[in-house]
Amino acid sequence: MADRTACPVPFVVPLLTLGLGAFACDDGAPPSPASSGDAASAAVVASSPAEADPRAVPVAAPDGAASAEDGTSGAAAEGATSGDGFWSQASTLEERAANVRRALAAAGDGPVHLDIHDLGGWEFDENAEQPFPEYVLALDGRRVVLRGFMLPDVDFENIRTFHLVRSLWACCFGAPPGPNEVVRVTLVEGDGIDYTYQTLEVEGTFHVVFEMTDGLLDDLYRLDADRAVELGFDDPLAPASVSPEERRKLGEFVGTDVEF
Amino acid sequence: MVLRNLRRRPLATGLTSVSVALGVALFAAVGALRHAAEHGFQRSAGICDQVVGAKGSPLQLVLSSIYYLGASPGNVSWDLWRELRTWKGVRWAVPVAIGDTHRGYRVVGVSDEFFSRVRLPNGGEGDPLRLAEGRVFDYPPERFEALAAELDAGGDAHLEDHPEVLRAVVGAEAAAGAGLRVGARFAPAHGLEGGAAAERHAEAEVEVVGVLEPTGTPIDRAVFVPVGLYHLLAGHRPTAETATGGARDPRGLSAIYLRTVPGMYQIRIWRRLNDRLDAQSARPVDEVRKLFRLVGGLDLALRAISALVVVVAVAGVVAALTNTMAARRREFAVLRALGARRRTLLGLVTAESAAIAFLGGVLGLVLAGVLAAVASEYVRRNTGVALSVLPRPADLALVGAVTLAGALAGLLPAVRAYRTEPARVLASQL
Repeated sequence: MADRTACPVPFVVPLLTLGLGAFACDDGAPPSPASSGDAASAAVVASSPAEADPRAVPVAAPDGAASAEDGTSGAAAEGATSGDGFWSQASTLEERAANVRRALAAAGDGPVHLDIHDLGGWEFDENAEQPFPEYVLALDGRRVVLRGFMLPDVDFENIRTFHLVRSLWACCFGAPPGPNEVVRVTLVEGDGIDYTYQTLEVEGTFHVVFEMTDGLLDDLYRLDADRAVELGFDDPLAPASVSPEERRKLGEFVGTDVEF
Repeated sequence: MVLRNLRRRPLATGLTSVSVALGVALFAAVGALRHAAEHGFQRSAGICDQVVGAKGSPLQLVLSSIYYLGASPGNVSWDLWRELRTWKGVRWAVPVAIGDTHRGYRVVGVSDEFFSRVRLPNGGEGDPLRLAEGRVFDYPPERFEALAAELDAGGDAHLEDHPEVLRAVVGAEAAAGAGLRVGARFAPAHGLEGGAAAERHAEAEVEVVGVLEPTGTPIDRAVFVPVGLYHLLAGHRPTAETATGGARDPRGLSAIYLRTVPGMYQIRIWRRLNDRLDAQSARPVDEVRKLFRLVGGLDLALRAISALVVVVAVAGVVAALTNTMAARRREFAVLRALGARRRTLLGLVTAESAAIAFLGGVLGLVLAGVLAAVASEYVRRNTGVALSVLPRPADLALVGAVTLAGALAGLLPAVRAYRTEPARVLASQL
């Protein structure tokens, strides 16, 4: 015999689920992660003990070197994707450069996990023939994974081209990003994504280009992305003792962008 | 058999379907209106990437200068506009003046770059503004610059010397609503309240030279005039009392529509403007998002209430079906006696309930479409934002969910049918 009392419950569920679609909550005050030059974060964050001395790693690890270091590079790549240590806390140019070199070495032939922060910090000279430092040039044409926040132009939906910055508008105290701290992201396939304040992770082919159009500087960094994932809110300034999972949870009040 | 049963009781079927339909319509209409309103607002927000104005609430600045809702936070010096035009990374900067009306439609002062440069976002290059009739007025930024320089130098500029400002290009809705065809003349009224009692600028008779095609944005509800008209009207000229250099100095602009090169230039210009003590830059894209976040809670409450209405309606279906169960005991008994299995009866009643819910769901969507169409006319008249009334995929999912809910709810009376003992029922009625 069927259980009578069970009847009313299930039909409420789909309705409530639909109703909850109304939680189209986005953040009113965009999260503003680290701004450059934070003196308090002087220490270079090392994802794993193997990376203790970043300067020891060569710029572009040749195949042989990569395989020789298999154990360490595997661990480093894992550390970078897990969220822990993804956000660079480098404050000097040397530290930023070292982070990029280490990421390159750790990646081997695979994707390079980078923080946009580490791509900047050097003086951009638009009169120079080749303004880029060698460790940045080494990234040209590489497959790269970046995290940051979206800076759309005027669209809300189906955005295929946007700029990725490490920090959004809200912070009145930080400096605005320089030309070498912004990445133009073009989604090479699909209908694009909606405007979001959440952390985005994008992956694709990185291009380092110096071009001027009508006296204006074109984007120095461009990423042809074939993958874009909306992560939760990930606060790069959370204390190191907070695990990545907890750190994301801290940001959950922001809500997820739900299509309504 | 299900359909025949339903047809046999048209009143009960009809009433219960309608109650489900009303619930579904309410639910879908609330969702559709919100979605459409948000979409319309977003399209309007895309005419520029930043709006520059006096310090104050960025939302107020965006609402007043792009949606023509509410008052402007004040004036920003026209020096800033002149300066902005020379900044690296600025594609264009259109000076904007608001504050006067004609028959309730905002009179908006702009340079003619507004018509040539503004694009409405369409996912690609954007749609330019098109004329339905006539031409746009000729008021290049250089002319406004010259007027500003003349007024800055303490010159006694007069309307008679600047006949080029007495021209208007009218949005589609304003043209229809205020009867402004090409060749029509009107005198703008001082202030935003309008109406018969409003003080008219009788000295300035403006001639309509063009009418824009509908855009589905607040542009439709505006009357555009050369921005210099604002500075030449009686009472708008700077005096010793008003020329203070502050946010009420008439040598200023209500806003500046700013289009910049996306990326580094955009973020740096935004920051540089907000660094100033006499101006701010607001991003319409962000302000509109904030606005919809603000109203999101209210919207959630509305959705919850309408969801409850659907639940009540489905409960009504169950009640109605349960009521018929006693009367239909004989029918079920006969069916059972004829060899119908218990499970068949269970399915029969469940299917009836689901069919009523489905019928109600479809009816509800139609009703929601009608509701949205009526409301969209109202919203368009009042805000110029065009709402779309077509059902969205989510609405079709809603019909599915309601049908499923109807089926599940139908289990309750179905179980009673299931338990029908043919022998006892038939025997008792002999």
